[in-house]
Amino acid sequence: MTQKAVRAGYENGTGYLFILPWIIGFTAFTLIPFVALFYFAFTDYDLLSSPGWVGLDNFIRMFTVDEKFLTSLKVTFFYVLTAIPLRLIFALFIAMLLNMKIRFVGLYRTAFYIPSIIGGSVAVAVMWGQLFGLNGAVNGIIGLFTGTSPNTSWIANPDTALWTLILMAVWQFGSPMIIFLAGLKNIPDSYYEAAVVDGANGFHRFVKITLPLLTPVILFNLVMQIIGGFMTFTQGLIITSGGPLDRTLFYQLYVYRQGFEFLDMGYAAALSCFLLLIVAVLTALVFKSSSAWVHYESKG
Amino acid sequence: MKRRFSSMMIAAAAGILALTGCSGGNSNTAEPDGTAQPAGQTASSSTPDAGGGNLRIIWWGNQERHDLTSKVLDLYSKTNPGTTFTPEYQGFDGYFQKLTLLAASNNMPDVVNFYVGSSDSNQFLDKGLLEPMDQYVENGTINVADIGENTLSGGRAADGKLYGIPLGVNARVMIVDPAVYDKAGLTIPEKGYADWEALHEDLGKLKEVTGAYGADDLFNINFTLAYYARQFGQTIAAEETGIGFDEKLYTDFFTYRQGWSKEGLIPKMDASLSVKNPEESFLVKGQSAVMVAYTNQYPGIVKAAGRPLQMILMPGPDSDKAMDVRPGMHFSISVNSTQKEAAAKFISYFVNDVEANKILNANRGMPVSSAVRAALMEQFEPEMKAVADYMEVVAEHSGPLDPPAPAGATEIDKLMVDLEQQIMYEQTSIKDAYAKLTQEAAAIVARNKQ
Amino acid sequence: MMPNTQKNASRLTVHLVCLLIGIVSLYPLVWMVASSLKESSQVFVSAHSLIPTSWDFGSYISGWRGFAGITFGTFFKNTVIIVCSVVAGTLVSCSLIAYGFARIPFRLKGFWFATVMLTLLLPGQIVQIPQYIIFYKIGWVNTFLPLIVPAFFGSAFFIFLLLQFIRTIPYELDEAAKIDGCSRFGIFYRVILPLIKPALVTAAIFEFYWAWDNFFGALIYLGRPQLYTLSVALRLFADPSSGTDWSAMFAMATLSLIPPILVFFIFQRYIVEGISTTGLKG
Repeated sequence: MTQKAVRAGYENGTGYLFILPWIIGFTAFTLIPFVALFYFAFTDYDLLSSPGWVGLDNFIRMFTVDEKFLTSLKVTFFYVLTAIPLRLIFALFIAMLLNMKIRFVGLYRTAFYIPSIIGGSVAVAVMWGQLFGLNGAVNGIIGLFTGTSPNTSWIANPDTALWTLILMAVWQFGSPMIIFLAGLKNIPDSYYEAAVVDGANGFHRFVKITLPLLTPVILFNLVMQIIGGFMTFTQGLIITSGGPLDRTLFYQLYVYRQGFEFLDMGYAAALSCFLLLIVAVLTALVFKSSSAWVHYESKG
Repeated sequence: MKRRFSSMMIAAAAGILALTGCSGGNSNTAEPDGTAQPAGQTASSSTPDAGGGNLRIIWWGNQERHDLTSKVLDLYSKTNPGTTFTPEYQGFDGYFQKLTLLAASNNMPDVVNFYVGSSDSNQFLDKGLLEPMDQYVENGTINVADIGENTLSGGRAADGKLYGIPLGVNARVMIVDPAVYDKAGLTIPEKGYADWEALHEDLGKLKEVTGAYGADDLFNINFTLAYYARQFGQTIAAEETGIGFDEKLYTDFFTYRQGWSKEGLIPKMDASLSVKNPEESFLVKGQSAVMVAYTNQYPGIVKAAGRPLQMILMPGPDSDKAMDVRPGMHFSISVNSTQKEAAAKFISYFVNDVEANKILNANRGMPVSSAVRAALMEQFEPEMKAVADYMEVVAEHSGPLDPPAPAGATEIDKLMVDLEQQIMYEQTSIKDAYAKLTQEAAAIVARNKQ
Repeated sequence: MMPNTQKNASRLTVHLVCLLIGIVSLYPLVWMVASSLKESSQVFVSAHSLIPTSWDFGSYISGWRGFAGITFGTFFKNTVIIVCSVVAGTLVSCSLIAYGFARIPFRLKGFWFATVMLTLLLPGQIVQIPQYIIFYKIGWVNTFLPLIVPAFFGSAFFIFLLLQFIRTIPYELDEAAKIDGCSRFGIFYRVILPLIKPALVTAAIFEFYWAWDNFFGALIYLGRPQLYTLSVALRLFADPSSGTDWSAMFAMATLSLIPPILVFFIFQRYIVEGISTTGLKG
């Protein structure tokens, strides 16, 4: 701690001391499971008896005979490409709204965060059915405006099922909203004061000050939402069971099904490894690109 | 923090050992105990003492079941000093996933709630994780004198051995709304409809009264296709080919379903798919007058509907051949249990003891023991009484259970549901679906035989 | 951001927009509360009425009774113990680790940061199997330890979150503190921590709710009903094959939502107040 290091030089002792908890935790809780995952991917493992080495069989099956592998990959990409941008834009918009000094803002913030809390609730599957089912509130409201309520159940109609889940993802914009809000609050008022003196208008200030200073937080939300999007699973399991016609068969749901319903854990591990690779590459690309658009105050 | 660090390192070391030695459940069947005992405080299998000790028991269920079953455990501990229980009850969500992890870590409870015959349970059976119980029946530890052989046979696997003692029996039932029949000027066929066509005729008039549907979706593939196959002397599953019914049967079944759904007599696929619990059915909401269910769901449906309903037999022809009295759940013994004798003794008590069953009040279906059933009749509430009466009728009008499903049945089930959706959403023809079904089912069976 | 001369009309628009989103956000909660007050026979029969015909608190009493003599009091207590430990552990460990990554140059930093990001990519469903076996072998199954202890060793999401916030703080502040004679820890404790208060509060709120809601971990690691948490206990009402007491389940689900909502409502203003009160002048 008392090292007198210059800024450019390494401070190995201090640095490792600070991240020591991570190194211990990673080694103890994550490293072994991580290695196991890769090992399982090359085995036939039903969980109930020992894994047997099968070489590349799982991967060959994935790319040659398994149609559902492709289906689930498409569903997941579609979901990530639609739900994530919508959710982020919405979250940022609301965060800016709530950053204003208006009355009841605390109540609004809490109300907007509630979908994120209730989303994990045990009741959510039943609730979503009550909203988007045949006799649900959505059809009721449409009926109120148009005179006839649609004779369809949105969550079980092959053309709309995935969209209801996308809508749900956007509706649960609470977490990225809060992070944006915290990011906005981190921007010192003095920057804006200076801009006002310079005569910048609202839009100018947003583009010149807010956005650049928010980029580290945008990067965080982007990376996390991409990863989270690919990991999406619960909604598909409890609300739509992957159906109808596999239109909501998320990749992770398919992995789960192979692993825990068909007890084909080796294949599930192989599927996971492939997704891990995809997401790792995407994440790395985002990080690489970030040097061009993310503005840091420090060089750490 | 320091102490935690060292235990963390032990954790890491132990984990590596676990993985290299591999976690498998029955990799050490030759030496079922002793090899992988937990270092810590898991309550299980402390003393391999036949006289009792602590029995771990796991089941799924709802509030009532947890309360009642726990009371019976207390009662048993009182009358059998020395035997205590560590119950691990839970909801149905995640039950089998947790059981899989318990099995993977060699940590299965002594007594396990299963449904032998369901694909979830069959996996455990196929891997040899359950103890065959025939010897305990032979030596009298488990008393099956009052249980019919047909009921007991539901606990047998493809190898003919007994892997579970049934805890209650259920049957398929058609539930109708008498008030709607009244208004439509129809009489309820007390013994069930003569055939599906007869039902079809009534549905139109019932639909006019409800203003929505005549019936809920009656053709759920898991529920009705097995019944429909039995009506024509066929079965849903088969040992060699995976499926045991022919193309005509499959075609007829889906032709009914498509036709009725187009006529608006039953909900379209998307509407019926969004009904996930019997309490959410259209019948409960007053939008249909007929639905099908299992008898154990009847009290709950009446409660949710809040009005009188009535049970009739499933439609004919040959319903007395197609109906069956099916065990709802089983208690099985884990192969790694160190107290199998004590577990068997408890299971026998659980199904045969009148006092215990007075507490349980047919919570897991109609009791399997005839003596227990007779003793319980007077304490049943009206709905349970109706179920008991109905079960008496079914007992006289039913055939033997289907043979156990082959290995790989889980995947075949999933495949059938996939094709069901493709047909009903008009993505494929019935003919093509059947061709695909036979082809892939055979492949799945072949793969699982290896 | 709005000019000070903003007219009342646009404020009204903002309020209208907020109200509209608020209604959409609150609908399911209102539906659930209404359902919990209905009799079981009315939950689905009159599913879309948001106002119960009779106010029946019976389901709160029958639900609270719990299972086999273990009331929801026990489940609340267990959950609070776990959640508070997890939140404390996460805040302490993640802020230290994030500071290390953000400000201190050291060898192999890129590698260790990659392990953080990698952890986020691991498929939880599969990784849990070896993890479960590890915890089983060291005898932690049927204790709270597998749910609590890992939090004290950092969680990737929060490390990354705090890291991004520390990076928005001007480096000159560190420099100034160093010149004043602060050690690394001193800088972390006196300069950085106060400045990332909004992020810390955010992390606390998130982790509170996630730990509160953690079903699967609690399900597999807690074998005895006396140890169950709320998320596990709530599912003990549901059995699709025989019957579910929906109103009791909704009643307890409603109660279980109160603490996360309260925590959010109380702490959200610190996200807002955080910076301005510490007097950062950039």
